[in-house]
Amino acid sequence: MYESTHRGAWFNWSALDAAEKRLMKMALGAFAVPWLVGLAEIAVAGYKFGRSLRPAERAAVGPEAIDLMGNSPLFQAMVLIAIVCTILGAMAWRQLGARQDELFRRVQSHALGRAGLCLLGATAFWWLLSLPGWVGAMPVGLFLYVDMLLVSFFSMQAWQRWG
Amino acid sequence: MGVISQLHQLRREKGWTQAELAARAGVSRQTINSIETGRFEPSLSLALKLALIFELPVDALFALAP
Repeated sequence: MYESTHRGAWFNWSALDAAEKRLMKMALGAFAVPWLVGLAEIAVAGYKFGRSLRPAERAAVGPEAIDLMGNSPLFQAMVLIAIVCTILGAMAWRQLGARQDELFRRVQSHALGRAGLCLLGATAFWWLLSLPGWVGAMPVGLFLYVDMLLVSFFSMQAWQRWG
Repeated sequence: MGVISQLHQLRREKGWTQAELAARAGVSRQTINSIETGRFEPSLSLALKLALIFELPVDALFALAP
């Protein structure tokens, strides 16, 4: 059975049985892929932001390879693989959760519920800001990342409260 | 309104470890520890299961805090 350690930030590997260890490996392995793709996206966004600060006379240069990265078949394949891995990871995590007790489920319900509410609020706020045109299209990838961070935060909070 | 648990005392009387009781109840050792320390209030089904394990009525294990 899953047992949290480090104030909910990690878990006791030896407390899992063989089937749970297999599911945990599958879930963590699958979730690592979208995180890596996301980190690459953040790095590229940081690079572009840094480049946007360059002097005006140098900004007139045409698009560089990095500006066209989003259109490349390799990048699109990476995103597709990340989405598939997220779905596979969620399926493995769901199977792992089905083998756990009510403490685990209560923590999970708390974390998913709170994170969902926060994200709903953020989405509504973004929509309000978009009405006068203050912000552009919603960055769905960023919202998914924020959601994952919120789930992790509320999960740790719940483990510290009940675990 | 909280719940007071006699689980720690009853378990010690039986000479069971938290892990042994957890295995009997089908929950994690952490869940037993959290119930004993009052951080986690079990569901009715788990309370009934624990009462069955100890062969006691539920109110011998759990009571409402005054």
